[in-house]
Amino acid sequence: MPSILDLIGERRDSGSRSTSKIDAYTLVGVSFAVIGELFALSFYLIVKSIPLTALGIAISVVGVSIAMIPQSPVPVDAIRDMVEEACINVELVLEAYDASEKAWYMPARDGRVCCFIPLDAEYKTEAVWAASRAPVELLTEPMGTRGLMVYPPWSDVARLSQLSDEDGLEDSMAYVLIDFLEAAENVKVQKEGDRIKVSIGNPRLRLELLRFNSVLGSPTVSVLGCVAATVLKSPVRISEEMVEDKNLKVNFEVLSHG
Amino acid sequence: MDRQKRFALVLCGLEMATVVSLAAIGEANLEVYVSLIAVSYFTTSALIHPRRRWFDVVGVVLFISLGYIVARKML
Repeated sequence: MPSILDLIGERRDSGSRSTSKIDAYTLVGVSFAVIGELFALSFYLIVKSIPLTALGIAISVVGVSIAMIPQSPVPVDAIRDMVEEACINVELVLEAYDASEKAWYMPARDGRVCCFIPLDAEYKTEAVWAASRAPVELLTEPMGTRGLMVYPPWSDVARLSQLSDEDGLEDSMAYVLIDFLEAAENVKVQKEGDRIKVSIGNPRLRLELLRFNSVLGSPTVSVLGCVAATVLKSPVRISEEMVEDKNLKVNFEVLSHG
Repeated sequence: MDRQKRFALVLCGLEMATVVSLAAIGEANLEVYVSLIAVSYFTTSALIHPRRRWFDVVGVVLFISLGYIVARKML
């Protein structure tokens, strides 16, 4: 089992974050700003055309605005590192108990979504419902099924993003991932009975923690698990996660009321 | 599409539409152009709330320009 220092060390070594390079926004923005200024000055002083001068000013305004856009808006490196290190704690717990079953995201209690991870391969779905009502303890045993209960680092994302009960599943997922966290470019949701198929365009949150990813799902998908459990008020688990080009395809399984 | 890209696209479209519309109606006063460019910038910023890496330099410059234009008209 890797130690926490090994895991943090791996993250530090593999983190090739470059802040000194000029990013695309700066390059395009400065180019627009300079071209716009030259355009405005030359048309004002030489051609004496007011509309074309104004066009140059407008291009400059757009250029400087683009140059001011941060390359990676959210999460910033420091926040991302903190989230990653919070995930390492969960990873260590999962390693310690050799958890390998997919986690169930429980309906939110006090605004926080907790995950129940069965330690036994065979278990009844009633045990999952019982876990959703049982007191939150690291090691729990609802209806004789041994399992772990952990809070993912984004357990209260639904509360923080102020989702309302009227919001549908697709609107909630899209709002949290695109507008609130800015962790993806688009989200498409398709619900078929107790299955939910989600396609996430260009997800930006990534983690190299194998156990965490296989049990709780990758960070972006895990965030959606929390949202789905909160909106549907039912336990939800990630049954399948696939990477296709720059997109993530995820299948969720919703536990119907027993 | 994230908020930053949406802001850049909407701002670009609105500024270009402003300049082209004013040019089409034959406006020849630069102050009118600058005022409307400022208004479209502030409207887009207020509606989309983009994140910036520094404070809003463009907003400050446009606000000062707009203040100067208004002050000149009033005095």
